[in-house]
Amino acid sequence: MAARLDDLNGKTLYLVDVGFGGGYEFLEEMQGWLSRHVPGARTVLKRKGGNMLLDDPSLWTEIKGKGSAVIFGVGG
Amino acid sequence: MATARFADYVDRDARNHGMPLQFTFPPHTVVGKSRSTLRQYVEGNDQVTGEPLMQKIVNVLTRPTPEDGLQAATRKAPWPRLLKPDTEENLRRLFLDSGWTDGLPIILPTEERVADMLTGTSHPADEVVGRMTITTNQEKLEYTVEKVAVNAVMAGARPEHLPVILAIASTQEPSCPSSTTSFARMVLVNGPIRNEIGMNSGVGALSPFNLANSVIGRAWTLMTINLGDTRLGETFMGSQGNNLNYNNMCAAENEELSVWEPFHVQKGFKPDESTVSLFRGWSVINSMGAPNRRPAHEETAILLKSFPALRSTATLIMDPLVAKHLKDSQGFTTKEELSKWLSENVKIPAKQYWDADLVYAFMLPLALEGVEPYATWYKLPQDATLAPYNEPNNINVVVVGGETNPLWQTTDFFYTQTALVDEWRPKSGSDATKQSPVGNCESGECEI
Repeated sequence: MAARLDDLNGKTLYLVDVGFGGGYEFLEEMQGWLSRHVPGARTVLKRKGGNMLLDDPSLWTEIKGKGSAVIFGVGG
Repeated sequence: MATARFADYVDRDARNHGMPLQFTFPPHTVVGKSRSTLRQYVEGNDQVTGEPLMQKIVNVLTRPTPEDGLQAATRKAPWPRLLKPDTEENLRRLFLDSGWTDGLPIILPTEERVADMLTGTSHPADEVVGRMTITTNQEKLEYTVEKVAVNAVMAGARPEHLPVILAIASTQEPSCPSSTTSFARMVLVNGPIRNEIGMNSGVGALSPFNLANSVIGRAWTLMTINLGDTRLGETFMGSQGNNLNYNNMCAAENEELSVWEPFHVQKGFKPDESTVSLFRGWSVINSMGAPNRRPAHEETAILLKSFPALRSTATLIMDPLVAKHLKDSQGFTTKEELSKWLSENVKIPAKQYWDADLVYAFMLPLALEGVEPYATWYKLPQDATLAPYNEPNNINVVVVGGETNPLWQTTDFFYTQTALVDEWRPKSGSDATKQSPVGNCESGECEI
């Protein structure tokens, strides 16, 4: 498991839509919540390449290089 | 994150893979919900722990991960090879209560019956046929010729059916994957074995009359249940389920009455080779009448517009009379010509295409990656038309039926693969089909 963060200020959080219906819109609302309540954090909202069943190595590489943490959603 | 309905499912997934993933659970579902509802979900509580949902996410990201010592589970078949002796009634009850059946009575797979079933193939009982799971939640389970034979006995099959059932098993495809969308499947048998084992390709081929059609299709689902470890509500999550999974539309192609090339020959097999081809989809629409005032290809074009045209896939199941009508009256000399015509002439508004949920899930990612033609289609005005069945090779045509009426069925099924049956036959001289009480059926219209 990846190491946890001390706090979210100054960090880049990736919000990744895995492709189930409604997930992108839900993450947009999450992004809004984070901007209001954790303004020191930067958020990047992305759709995972391919459908929900496929891997996306290029995005994982991007997140490892530029991100501090990632939230995947929304399975359903 | 996953919606709360899948809390148990993702917990098992994490444990099965030895990964203590941290999940947060908004209400089920988020699809189709208004923005105000989604905002309430975000500002509300995790449906499992009751904690404020966003605070839980912040905590997960900033607090140490609990070390719960998860280890990847070692997957073994969850049932013994032999059961303790008991009365037939008690054993039937055990199979039913254990979830080892499709809910219908089964033939108890005694050692003697399984041994008899194994005479239907030259392959040793302990030979590994494949590995299967119905969900990524679980590791695949390995299965042998013997385990396939056990399920064949349970389905009511005879030794002469076993080569077809083994061929299906060799594909390693489950008949009812875990998808919440509840897939339907179809089994199509081609080649000489159709008649050798008395399969029905004629009158009522898709109805419940013929032994071979019934038990082969049923065996696939019993294999899926027992070899793919299907457990209702745990590994199988189809919201409504699919009644077609009882025997998976198992039939033979009516090669004798078809005016077109057999399906397996289209896929590169020889006419005298026996094969089983598998299809997967959701929907079946009857033609609801004959091609009287409107030719069959034009009627099909109308029906195909009701599907999302996912990956340009469709499968038409035609009575031989429809094939003759299309060839003799409409000039389609091959199945491929019909597929090409449909590919070019089924057109729908761009909005209809992109608003389909499955298109959103599976084709929008391709459009956003610049894959053509989807990228161009995505830029079209909503009322512009597009031809969504852009891959004619994905429009399959098979001929099944007994010429009592020129009708056909239009499905959204896509073809998955064809397996050779002949590899699983008994050795020459011990051919179980020669001992078959069913006998031969040259007409392709056998019914027991």
